[in-house]
Amino acid sequence: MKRWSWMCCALLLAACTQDSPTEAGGGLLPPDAIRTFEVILPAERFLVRDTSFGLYASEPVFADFTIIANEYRGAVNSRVLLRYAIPSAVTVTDTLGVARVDSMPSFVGGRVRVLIDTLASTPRPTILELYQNTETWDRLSATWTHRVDTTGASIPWTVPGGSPGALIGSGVWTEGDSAFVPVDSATIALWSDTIANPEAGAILVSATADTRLRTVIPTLRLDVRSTLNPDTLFEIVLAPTRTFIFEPIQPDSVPEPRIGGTPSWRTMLQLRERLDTITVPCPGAPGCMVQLGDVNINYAALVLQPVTAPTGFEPEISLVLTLHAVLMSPEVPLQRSPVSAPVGFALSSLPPSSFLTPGAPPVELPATDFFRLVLSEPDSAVGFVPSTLALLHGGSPQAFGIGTFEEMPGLRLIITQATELRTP
Amino acid sequence: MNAIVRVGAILMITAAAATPATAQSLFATRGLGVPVYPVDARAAALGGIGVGIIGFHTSVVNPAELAGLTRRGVSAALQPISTSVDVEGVEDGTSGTRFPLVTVLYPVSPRLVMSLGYGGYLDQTWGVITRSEQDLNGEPTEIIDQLRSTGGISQLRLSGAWSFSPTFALGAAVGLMAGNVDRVAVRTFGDSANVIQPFDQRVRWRYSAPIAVLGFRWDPVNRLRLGASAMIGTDLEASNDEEDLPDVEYGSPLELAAGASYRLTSLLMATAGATWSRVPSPPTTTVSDETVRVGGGLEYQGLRSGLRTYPVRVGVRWAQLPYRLPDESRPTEWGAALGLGFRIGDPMDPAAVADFSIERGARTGLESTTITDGVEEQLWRVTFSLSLFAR
Repeated sequence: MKRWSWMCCALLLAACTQDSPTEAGGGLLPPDAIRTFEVILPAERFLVRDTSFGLYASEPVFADFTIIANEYRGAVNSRVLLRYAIPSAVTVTDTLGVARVDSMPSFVGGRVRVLIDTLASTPRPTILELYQNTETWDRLSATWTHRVDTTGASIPWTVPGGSPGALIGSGVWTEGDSAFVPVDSATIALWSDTIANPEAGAILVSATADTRLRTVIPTLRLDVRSTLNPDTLFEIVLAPTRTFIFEPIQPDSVPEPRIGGTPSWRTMLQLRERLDTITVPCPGAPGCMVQLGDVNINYAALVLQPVTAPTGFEPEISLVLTLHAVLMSPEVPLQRSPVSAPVGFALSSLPPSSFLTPGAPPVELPATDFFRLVLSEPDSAVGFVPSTLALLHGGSPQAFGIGTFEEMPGLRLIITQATELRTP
Repeated sequence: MNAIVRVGAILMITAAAATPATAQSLFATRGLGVPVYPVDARAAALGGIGVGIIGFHTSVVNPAELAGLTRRGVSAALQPISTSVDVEGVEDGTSGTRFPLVTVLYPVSPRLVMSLGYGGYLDQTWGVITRSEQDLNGEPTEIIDQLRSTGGISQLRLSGAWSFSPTFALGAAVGLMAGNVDRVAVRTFGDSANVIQPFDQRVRWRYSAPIAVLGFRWDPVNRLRLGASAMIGTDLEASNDEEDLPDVEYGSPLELAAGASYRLTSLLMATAGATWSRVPSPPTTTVSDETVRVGGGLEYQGLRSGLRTYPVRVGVRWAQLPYRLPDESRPTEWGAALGLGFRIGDPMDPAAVADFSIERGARTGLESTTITDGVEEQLWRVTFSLSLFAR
């Protein structure tokens, strides 16, 4: 009996296997047993509005780059304000090889090194000039027109663009990644005298028209002769207090989508309510209408049309378009609301050429899982469902130029339905 | 008896807990599927009707045929099937296993025998993969679809047979036609950017309809047995858990079965039978035809070893299949079977019975304007049944 019991169990369990479907017989099923189609929703069907704000962090003073421009595309000027703190003492190695502090070093000269991002700069020889600045400035708030522009004070430059004074030196960038502007010992002595020259510093400009250079922070390389080891010249490198100022100054807000820029732009897209109730026709199926809350969405992407950027402000580097949910709260204005981690990425970065001339190909920003959430029927079991989206340049590094798109992007959807399941 | 209870429990629990055992057929893409005959391996080898057969069998067709059983026991049948399919020149193979029946037998008194069990009715198991191409997102995109249906409808029966005399018995059963089917549709996309997410939809349909069965068994003369039964049910209801998918009501099932067997010699028996059935009709364009099924066979009991007998059987059957689309031809199936039995003890009241049959058959039909040559399935079907009885 025991033998029979085990045989029964073995046979029963062996029978419980899942067979693979066959590749024959597809013709037995209706050709539209599963139906996939594409729909492009125009913006007015799912968006209330879009607004861009150019207010966000990464003001020029916080950027890890600077922009030097002279009448770039006949429109953009940009200059770098620099202030170097010349040390009163330096640490040197004496003749015995011991590191010691020399409180009476003599600075015999130096140079400002401008390290240029060659792929993000106009590819032509450029004369760089370094001027004494004649007025002090506030590094956090200085702009092309104002040397101080805070809530409590608004003080314009005597000459817009930084009130440059005497020429300190000049250099030419032709190729390679660096250009040097010499600084003589008298200028260094002047910068050392903070009483005679109260934090005015210098201005670095391009003297060549129609140029725009993207550089890392210009450093001052000082040649030092120490009393502890007078036969040897030492070089010390000083990082500046700096910012860059440019014109024309961009508005705080525009209606068309923008990303990138310094300060950076963020585009807010406010969704309509109950997107799940939107109905769309099924192409190729006369009379068929489906409600978005009832269908399976395989792909959802915002479709944005790049347009020409404001003259001279096309991005100097490729932009990475990302989509974020805006975490709204009644106490916080829209433009200050925090955003989520990215919920969608463009599949490839957008080259500067997309924003130089009209007719660039549209850009798709897939965010299928996110749109599945906002297009589904409201469910109390689901927590937060965003009603506002944010577009921004989510890549690194930060850009000076601005990516600009046509107003009110569309939404491309790929939808699938299975009709064969409807009957048992 | 303890061993009987233990094996019975194992059979029932295993069958209930396991993934439903099914076997694919492309003919099951129509309506509620293809019929499953709730017969044991002995009846399967003798034409598959399972009514009016002299001697022991546990087919869940005619409740009156329980009469005369003197021992408590359990019985189950297992049916592996291997099928080769040909549709428009595209060939493929499938395989699977069904459980045509599981039943517990219980003689209450010398005149009354009860049983509780289930038998197959309709199998809706099929799975198809198709490949196509469609322009999506501005590029030709390969699409692979998997449509799969798994499950079917069974009959759960509580049966009783009353022997009015050694030659005449009546039987009755009440029960439920029940089951479920899982429909799965999966579409995957071969887009180059791999951003189009797959489609996956699952729906489970549950079926139920009360049924009642009446039958008799009569031996009018020595060597001859007649049997007949009628099964009727209410409309079959199909329900699901989807909010936007309404429940569906099908027509009611009706099946009339009759059979006879005659002992030609002390060692040779002949049997034949037929059924007429009306399956639940769907409220769609799918056509459900009334079907006829006939079958018969011979059994030779000359092979013996001591108390053990080894019956050898041959049989043939032919049947119409019930479902098709309006423009399709009626599908049919046939089979020829060879069987062997192993019995311990009295052949009319055995302690253990194991039966085996192997059948070669084919299903054809469903010719239409789109599938001009229709569908052809060649199948090998093995049925193994085991009955254990208490001493």
